[in-house]
Amino acid sequence: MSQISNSSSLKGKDLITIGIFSSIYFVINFIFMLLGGLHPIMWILMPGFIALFTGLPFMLMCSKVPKMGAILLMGVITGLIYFITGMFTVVILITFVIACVLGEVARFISGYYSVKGNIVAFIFFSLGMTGSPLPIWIMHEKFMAQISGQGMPDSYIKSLERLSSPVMLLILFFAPIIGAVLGAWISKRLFHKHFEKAGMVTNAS
Amino acid sequence: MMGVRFDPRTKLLLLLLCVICTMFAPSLRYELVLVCLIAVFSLLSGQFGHAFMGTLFYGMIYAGTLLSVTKMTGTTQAIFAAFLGLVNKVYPCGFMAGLMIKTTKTGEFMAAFYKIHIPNRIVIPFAVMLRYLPVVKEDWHYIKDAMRMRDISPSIKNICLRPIMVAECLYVPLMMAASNTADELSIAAVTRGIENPNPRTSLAQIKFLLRDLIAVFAFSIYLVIGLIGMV
Repeated sequence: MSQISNSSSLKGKDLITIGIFSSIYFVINFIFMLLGGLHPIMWILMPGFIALFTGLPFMLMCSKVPKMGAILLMGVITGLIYFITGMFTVVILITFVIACVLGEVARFISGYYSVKGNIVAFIFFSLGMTGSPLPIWIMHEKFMAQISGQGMPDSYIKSLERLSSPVMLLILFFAPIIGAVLGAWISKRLFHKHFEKAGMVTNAS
Repeated sequence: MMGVRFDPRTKLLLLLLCVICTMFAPSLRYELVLVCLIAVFSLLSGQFGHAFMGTLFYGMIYAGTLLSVTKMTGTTQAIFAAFLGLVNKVYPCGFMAGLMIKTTKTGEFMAAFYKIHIPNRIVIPFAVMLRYLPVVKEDWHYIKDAMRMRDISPSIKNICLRPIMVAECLYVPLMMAASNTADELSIAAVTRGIENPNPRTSLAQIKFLLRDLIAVFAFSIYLVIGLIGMV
């Protein structure tokens, strides 16, 4: 059922697998993106929540495509969809690229089949989402002016202002790490419980 | 399908313009007109239902936003207005993207992508993704039905009482289905020669015509108006 081809470059089958898991990743991502509009705190914790819930598709994709470029492609495609839905900024592009490259490096060093290496890669990949709320800190004045000009109500901006402290910046970066570790742990449990029995995952040691 | 056919590249270009327009949108009214402009484009491409529903839905959002800004106070205002503000930002692009997906076959998409020299490695996963997104929705409904049979439907009550159980019962089948589809689809695609190294040929004829130029021109002018309005 899930033979893994041995050549090291991405083949048609790998590309299709990446496409399918990227679409699931994107659906989950998008749900939390919309929830982020409810309250600023949800927005700041969003990368963490996304990491928690996307562990399974990411780890499954990693085990099905043990090749270079899988994470990078997933990032590029998710970025393209972000572009289509108009939620694209330069900051998110930069963090996404850095995160994907780091993830690729982690997988390259660990030799693609190691679960630990995939978990490290997933932590890096999840950190890429921090680019979405990051403008609150690095372009503070300009960003506040922009969103108030776009009709965000004063109370939202005020609570955002209150949340933009250095402590929250730390939380922003720690939330995805914790979320990713938890998400990876959950997916490892589920692999063990369901997917190994069905013969879908072979190397989940 | 009635209506004028536009080049897929035109639609991509219009989408890009929509993204820039919403990025710099100076006011809510500007976005309303943008949505109307997209609706006109939708009518031209023969998608009457899409144009009508899209405009109607946006009208409701627009009214809701105005209402929340003027009538509500305090926390309810914060939640509603912020949420609607986000929806406002996403909506025009989503409207345009929906139209693009509805009126373009996957083959045409791929042909257009090859013409602007995007490498195979990006085109294939992207095309698969666009094709698979509706399937996720379908799978979701099947899984919900099946869960209801076993009395673990994802209702509010169950989510509160047994969140892990509900999450597991949603996730695992969704992933299993995805994993199987990936295998099946790739077998089908490989037999149809997706790994052929030669340049791809296409039945779909793609040409950039006068009407494409006019459409791009109209949207560009609107963008310029928005930029001037901002200054």
